[in-house]
Amino acid sequence: MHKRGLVEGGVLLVAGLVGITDALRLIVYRNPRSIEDLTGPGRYLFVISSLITVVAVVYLFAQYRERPALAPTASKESRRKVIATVLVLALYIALIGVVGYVWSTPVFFVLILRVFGFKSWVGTAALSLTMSIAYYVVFVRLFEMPFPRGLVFS
Amino acid sequence: MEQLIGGLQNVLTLSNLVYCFGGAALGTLVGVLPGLGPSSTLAILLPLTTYLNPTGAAIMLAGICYGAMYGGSTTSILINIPGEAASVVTCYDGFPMTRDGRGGQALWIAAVGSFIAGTIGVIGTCLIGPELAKYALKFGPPEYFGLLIFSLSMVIGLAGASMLKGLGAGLMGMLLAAIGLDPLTGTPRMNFGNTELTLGFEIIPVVVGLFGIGEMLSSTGQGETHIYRGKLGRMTPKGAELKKGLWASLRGTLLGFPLGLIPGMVTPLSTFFSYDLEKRISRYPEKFGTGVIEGVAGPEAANNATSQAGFIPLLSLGIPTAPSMAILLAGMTLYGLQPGPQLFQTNSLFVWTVIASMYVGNVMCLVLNLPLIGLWSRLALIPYRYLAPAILAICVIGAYSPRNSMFDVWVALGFGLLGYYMKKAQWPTAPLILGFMLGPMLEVAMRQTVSMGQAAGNIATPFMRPIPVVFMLLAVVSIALSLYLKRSRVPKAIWEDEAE
Repeated sequence: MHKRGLVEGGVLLVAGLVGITDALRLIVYRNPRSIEDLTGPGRYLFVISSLITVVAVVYLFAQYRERPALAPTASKESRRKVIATVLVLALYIALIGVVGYVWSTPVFFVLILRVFGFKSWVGTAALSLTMSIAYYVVFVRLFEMPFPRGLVFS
Repeated sequence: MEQLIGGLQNVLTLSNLVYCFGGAALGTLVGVLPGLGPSSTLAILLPLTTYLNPTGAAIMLAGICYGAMYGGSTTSILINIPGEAASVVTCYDGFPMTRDGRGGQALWIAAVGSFIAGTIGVIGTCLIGPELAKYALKFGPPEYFGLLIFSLSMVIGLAGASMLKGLGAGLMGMLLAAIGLDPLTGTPRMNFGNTELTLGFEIIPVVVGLFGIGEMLSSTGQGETHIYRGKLGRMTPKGAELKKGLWASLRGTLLGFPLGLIPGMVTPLSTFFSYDLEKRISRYPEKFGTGVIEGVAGPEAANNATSQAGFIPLLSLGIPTAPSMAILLAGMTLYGLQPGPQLFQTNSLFVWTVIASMYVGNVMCLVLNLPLIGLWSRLALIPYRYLAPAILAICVIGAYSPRNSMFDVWVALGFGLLGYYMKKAQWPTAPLILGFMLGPMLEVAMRQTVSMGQAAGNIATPFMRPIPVVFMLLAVVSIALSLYLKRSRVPKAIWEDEAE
């Protein structure tokens, strides 16, 4: 049994079943007395979702029979870095909504540079400030992109 | 011919030349970084073009695409790290040439081979593109339905080592594209009452996430890269070496170009076919892998010819054949252009300007690559800790820019995680993105065909027209061919990373 494969198959199965449920809702909504709604919004969804469900079942069956393979796994250090990068990105996106693009960008650069192994705080701060100013000049001043100003400043 | 000259005159304006040069330089700059191929480069740099006029933006995107392809070979030859899956084969003989002190020659023949392929590819595009578009004008929904089924079957069949995974990824792409408003009636689907989901997923955040953020996350564990410290040697090969290299480039081009017209023909596969051909016809096949010039020239030319040929179905039929073409299509849609047969009629100057810019872009890439090869190879050594933060910040801006929506940035992060996982678990990303792009087209074609059938009194009638039937048969053949190729001696590395 291949555990990771079973999870992947499970995700596919859930996606397929959710699609079928919504497709049936749309078919019945369009024509309560019949399912002969061949050109409506639910039919294509039904076909695609049904195919996904079939693929999921076949995939699950294949994984169930398969011996656990020695899949290439990332090192602990690398995995930690990926998780930290995702968390910093999520924090950055959330911060843009709160304090706006201009104030959240230097914070993002400080944090992400630390994640990527910058040791010196002074160097990190200087590089973050330089990059933030460069991005500000290009995207805010030059391209005039309407970035959010954040809940605090709007 | 007149139209091509008109396009050439248009591209030779100062602003368009600047866009072309900027695109080629930026593409080479990002493409030369280990692990970043044309798809990732286009996804990362696409947002920068959104503030240009449509022609300028398309020229810049084409330049980025070329630059990234040229740049991809540099890391294969000098560091033994392919910049993209299509450059895996280049490592086989490119790096041994560098170790032999012939790195300069390998880089020269890769650049010249790419230029030959690009030039022949542009000529092919000029000859085939308009004729195909004229023919495609006769296509109705049933013909498009057949063509899309064939395209999807090729993409699913040829991507990745497992066909089941390819099928799953392609169908998931189609399902994700179905979220939002139904294209014909405007009925909300799978939005779960969420207003943002009602609008569906915008393509730009999806590609930025999948190829930009996903690629950066995959590369976080990468350590410092080390270049071979020996001398590159003289740049231009001489005598018999030059002759062998140029002939191999020509063969690679002639092999790669027709393959690129087939939807789903991923470039790594055409580079492998070219390498295999060179080895088979060589008088010294046992020397391949030890630094043979044909082993670099053929695959590099095939790579560029395949990518160049992808522009033909994109411009003439509106059908992307590879992830990089899907991103170009997304870009063009963003600028309000819909590639397809009508584009040649309604926006002829634009199409011919883009085609002419391909040639100018090729010349620029050659000029940029040969004299500045030392600079590009140094850039490949910039540690990820400097590059990743800068690229991730651009990805956030890129995801935000099309609709000025923070929801799209979250979508990009989600797809970034998905892209990272897919890469690690060896799920092919090409079917996902092409399913996402082709799914809505397939749905419209399918429903219109069914409506035609209903009007004719038999649903099956439109599907039984000769062209759709031929495409359906080709789809069956393509699946059989894919199964054969997967069981044949195509190395696993070629299948494992098909994200261009």
